[in-house]
Amino acid sequence: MTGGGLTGTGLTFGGALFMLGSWTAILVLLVFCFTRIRARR
Amino acid sequence: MTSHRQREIWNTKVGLVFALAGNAVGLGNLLRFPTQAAQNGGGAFMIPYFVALILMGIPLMWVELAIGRRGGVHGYGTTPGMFGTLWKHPAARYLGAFGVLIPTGLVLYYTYIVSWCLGFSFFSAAGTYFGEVTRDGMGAFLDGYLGTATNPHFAGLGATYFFFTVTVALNIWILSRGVVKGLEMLAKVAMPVLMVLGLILVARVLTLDPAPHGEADWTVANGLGFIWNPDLSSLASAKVWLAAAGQVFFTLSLGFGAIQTYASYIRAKQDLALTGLATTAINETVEVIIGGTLAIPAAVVFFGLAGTRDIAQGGAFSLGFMSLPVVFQQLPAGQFFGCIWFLLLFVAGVTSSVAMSQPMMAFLQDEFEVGRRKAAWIVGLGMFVLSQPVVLFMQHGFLDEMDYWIGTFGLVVMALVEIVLFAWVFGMDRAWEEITRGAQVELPRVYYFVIKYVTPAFLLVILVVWAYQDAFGVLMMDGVPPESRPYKWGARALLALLLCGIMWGVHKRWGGRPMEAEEHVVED
Repeated sequence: MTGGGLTGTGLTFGGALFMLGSWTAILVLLVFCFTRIRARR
Repeated sequence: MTSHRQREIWNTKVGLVFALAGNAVGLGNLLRFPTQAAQNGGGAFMIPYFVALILMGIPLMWVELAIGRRGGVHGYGTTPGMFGTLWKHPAARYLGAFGVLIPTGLVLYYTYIVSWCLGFSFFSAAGTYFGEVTRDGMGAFLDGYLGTATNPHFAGLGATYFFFTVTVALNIWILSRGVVKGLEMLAKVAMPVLMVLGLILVARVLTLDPAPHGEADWTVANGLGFIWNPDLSSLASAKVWLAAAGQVFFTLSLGFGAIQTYASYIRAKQDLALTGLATTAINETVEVIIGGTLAIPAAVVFFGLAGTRDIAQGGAFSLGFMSLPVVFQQLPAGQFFGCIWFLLLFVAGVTSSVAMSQPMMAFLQDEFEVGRRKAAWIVGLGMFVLSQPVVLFMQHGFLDEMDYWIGTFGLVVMALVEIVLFAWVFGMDRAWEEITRGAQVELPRVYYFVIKYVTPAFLLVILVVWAYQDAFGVLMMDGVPPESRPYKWGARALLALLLCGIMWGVHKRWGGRPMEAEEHVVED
């Protein structure tokens, strides 16, 4: 099995959406958690 | 013998989250994750990865935190004592012995690998390997360092032992300072440093000149596409789902016994839900955002798509120790960036290696009243002595054999045992109360059913398929050359010896004692 982008088509629209969506979700979770943790210190 | 020793407690909430994140973040985030993603369908791998994270990783994190906090309240820092509070049967203590065996067995070879990162950070800064401009050349350099082949760079194992000794000494020093001044202080320094080093490298990779060798498709965009473009046909592959679930295990340090020990130093009514989510969020930031942006995109720019596929098939060490040093040699200020890369791996590795050592520390301190410094020396020197076969018999597969039984199969068995004990034997209603006590966020009720049914089923499927696909062949040493078999047996004997020692400790501590006789709760 090969990488999904092994065709050399660059980062597709779907790939970019998936990547940025995942990054955003993780960072939102990170900020949410630390905001709550610091607020209840 | 019931310990009434005053146990340490994490000093701050942020320190606790950083320590747990340091426990979870390790070499797996930066080396294993990109390799697994590239081997298993790129973006298609990420879909089962996130499903496994939500249905198995996060619930198991909460379960391990709850078991650990409950154990700490009863004065126990390791799973033999903890399991005894969940199941009033003498067998519970002996089942718990595996939660001390796994991290102790892991640390015997993990610390050795972490010491390579320190060595290669020095070699990068000094430019020692500069001139080895091919992957084969770097492979020979690594073999020479490990003493598995003769090499003009290394006359023997002197450099290997030097960096290994420094790494073990650093572990002993941190462990001997205790939970707050050692582990928490390390995490508060190491996690921000790790983030900064990671972001420096991410910035460097994203600004790499495209196609330095004139090949049009050797670009960062293609590297990111390699990881993120979804190949939905891969979703039908059981292999991809298993690889994704396996990666979630490694990355969150689940089934190790180490999360439980760290959680035993949490206050009785302190939040677990938010702590588990924050730990997961930091871990995923390092893994998905930093780990997913570094090694594979950089490799695509310098080796092309087909070359990177070959590198990924060669495994994590091929990517981290053989391919990326070739990349650094072609970058301006390559010595600096090489040093930063291996330092990043070293920092991530040390926060995990001390976490893996802590269960044995806690076992000695809590159950046998050994002093902290004495325990640190026993654990550190014991680790150094028992890891000698790993160092000396590397080429015969000693490390691989230990890694399979402890670092692959053992984790899943341990996780399945603990979730069955917690959700089914202890009871899901009480388990849910344990998890949600003091929670600062309201957990969705659906997780009650996920923890009771979905996560154990997920683990059972992984275990059965792995047992069917691999375990029997590994057990029978299929394909192992006859000359390597004694060493593989030696690795098994070492693990059996460790298990016997821990079982003996459990027997000496609890043998013949009634289960209810020693319930003592440490009030918060």
